[in-house]
Amino acid sequence: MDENELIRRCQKGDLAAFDDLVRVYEKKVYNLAYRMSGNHEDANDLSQEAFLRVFQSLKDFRGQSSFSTWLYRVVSNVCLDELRQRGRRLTVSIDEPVSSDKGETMQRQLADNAPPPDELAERREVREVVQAAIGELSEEYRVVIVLRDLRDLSYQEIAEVLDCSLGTVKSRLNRARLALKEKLSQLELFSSPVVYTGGRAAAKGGNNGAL
Amino acid sequence: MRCEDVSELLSTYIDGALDQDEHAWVEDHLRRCPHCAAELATLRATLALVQQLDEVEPPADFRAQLKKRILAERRKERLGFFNRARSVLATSPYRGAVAAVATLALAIGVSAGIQSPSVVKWLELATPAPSVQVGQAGNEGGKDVAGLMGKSGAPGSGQTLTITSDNGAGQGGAGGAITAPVTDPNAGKGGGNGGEITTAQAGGKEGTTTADTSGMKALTAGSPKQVAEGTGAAGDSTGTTGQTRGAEIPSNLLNVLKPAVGKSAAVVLEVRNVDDAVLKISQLAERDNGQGAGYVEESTTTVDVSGQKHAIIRFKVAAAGLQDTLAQIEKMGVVRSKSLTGHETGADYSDVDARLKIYKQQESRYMEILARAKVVDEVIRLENELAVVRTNIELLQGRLDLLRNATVYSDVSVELNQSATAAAAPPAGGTLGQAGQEAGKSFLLTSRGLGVLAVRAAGLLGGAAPVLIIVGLGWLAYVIYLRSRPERARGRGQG
Repeated sequence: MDENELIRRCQKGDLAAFDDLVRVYEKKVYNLAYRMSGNHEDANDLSQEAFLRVFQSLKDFRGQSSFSTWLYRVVSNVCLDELRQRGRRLTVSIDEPVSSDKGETMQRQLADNAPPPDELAERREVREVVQAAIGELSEEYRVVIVLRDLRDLSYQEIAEVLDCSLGTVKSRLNRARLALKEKLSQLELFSSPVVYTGGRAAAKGGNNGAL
Repeated sequence: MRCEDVSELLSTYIDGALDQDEHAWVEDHLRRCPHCAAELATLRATLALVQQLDEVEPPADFRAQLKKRILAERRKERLGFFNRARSVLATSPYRGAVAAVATLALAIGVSAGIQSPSVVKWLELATPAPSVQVGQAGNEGGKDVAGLMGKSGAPGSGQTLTITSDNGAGQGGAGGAITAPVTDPNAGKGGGNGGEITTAQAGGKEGTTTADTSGMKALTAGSPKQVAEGTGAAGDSTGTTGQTRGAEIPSNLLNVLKPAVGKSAAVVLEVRNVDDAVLKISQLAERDNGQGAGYVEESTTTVDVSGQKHAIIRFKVAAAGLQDTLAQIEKMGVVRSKSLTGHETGADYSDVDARLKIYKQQESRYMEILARAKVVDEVIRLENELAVVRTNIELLQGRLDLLRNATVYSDVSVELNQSATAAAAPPAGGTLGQAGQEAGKSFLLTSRGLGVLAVRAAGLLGGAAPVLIIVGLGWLAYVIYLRSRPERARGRGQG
């Protein structure tokens, strides 16, 4: 069944059709929420809330924009509202890696100048540090970075999602990226040029700097 | 071009979204400025780090969770009137005022019960049932306060105050009569639509003031009429309060309950012998008319100061036999008012029925797939889906039963008034002149009734003061207790 038909059925309150629609988009929505909140619990709450709102307001969707843009708009708004309301940023901070068991181990090893952990753990830790840095940005900056660099939306799409002009998207994205660059530079995550190709060496350098 | 200007364009440059001129400037600058070139490299590295963040997987039961939430929301929308009302009350800026009014009513009720010597007197005399009340607003939107007719007896023990709001006899469909005869002995209950049940025991064993959310009761009984009960608490004034409240509830309730109401009828009858008529009507209600026997829900008789008898009978009767039953009742005396309210259940019934069928089909489909499922994950997912579907089926089944029951039985309420001239009384309706006369008389009677009410209310307010003080002190203690609690909790948290 094509998406328009699916949406029409959802608009009539057809739960089964909505289930199919969710199946198509749940991963996109969940990932946006995950990168905005930085943890699975909040990501789950936010995407559930977002889909609930989608279901309730689907009748207002008239196809002015593409469905996925409209969906991203609802999800982004839910995330921004919710995160602003909580007035807190990520539960993750650079000093305390998310996964407490593994994070603690790594932290101790690094502090003791122990032999570098295996590649997988290293990569994981770099990701946590990057995620944490994204989480320290303001919600407005975070959302443009997530939409552009992780969800791969075009400038035009981001403008529609955030309901602002192209110029605003450009300048906000620029400021957001520079801010993120500053945060990661302080951690000397990419003191080595190898970072462009893989990030392994960068991760190693960054670990020492960060922790 | 200055480095700051370039810095502002770098992000857009990386995305290749600069216009041609800008793009050329930036490239030109980057060739000549190692600082900006390094900036670009770092920015690119930053983005590379961001882009290496992996996709994560939503939890396996994501959609099952969502479905549950959506269904819960739907349920809330359909049946959540009371919850909403409660949450509105709980968060309303006027909740203080609401609480104050409720407390005042409570205090008046209690004090009146304690004060009134007539409670004791009444108990000793063991006069007939203390109060008769039927609050009915079988009307859509409750817009029916067309005529007010009040009768008020002389002050003294055992007086009766009746206020009837009536949309006129024979209009069918939209008739609502609110009658609140109140006997002085201060016993009775006042119906209201709060979220909780508060009961205050007054002096006598029947002196209770009850604010009752009869919502669920009404739901199960299938009739909003029963919610509108406001039996004379604490004398005339509260009797009227109960009545007003009673009139308000159904107007809201009907939106929710309308589909669950079959047919209901209200008749006001003038008869020579009230007791006889009561007996006959009871027999009529309880006989099996071929469609199943009905039953009497309430039957009360009172005698007013002038020695005239009044009675109220409420009963349920098989819907199919309603017309016949009404015809027989009308033969017993002169009909003063009659109203028949019908609410459509058909559309709602078939809607629910259709949805139920769809869910049942879905259920059997899932069962088929489940029988064939081999992977554990698949089985778990199917079982989740099944659980949701089955919850729906149960909900709809319950609703269907409710609708069925409401259609099978009709509510009838009959108000009987004694009349020595019952046979000679003019037929309902009368001439225009009579109507005018009646209206004038009613106006005077209502005014008198209101005057008595005001005087009584003043007296009751005075009497309520000591009770208010006690309630206030209790509340203060409660607040102090509440304040001290979080501190203790905090103390524990620190420790």
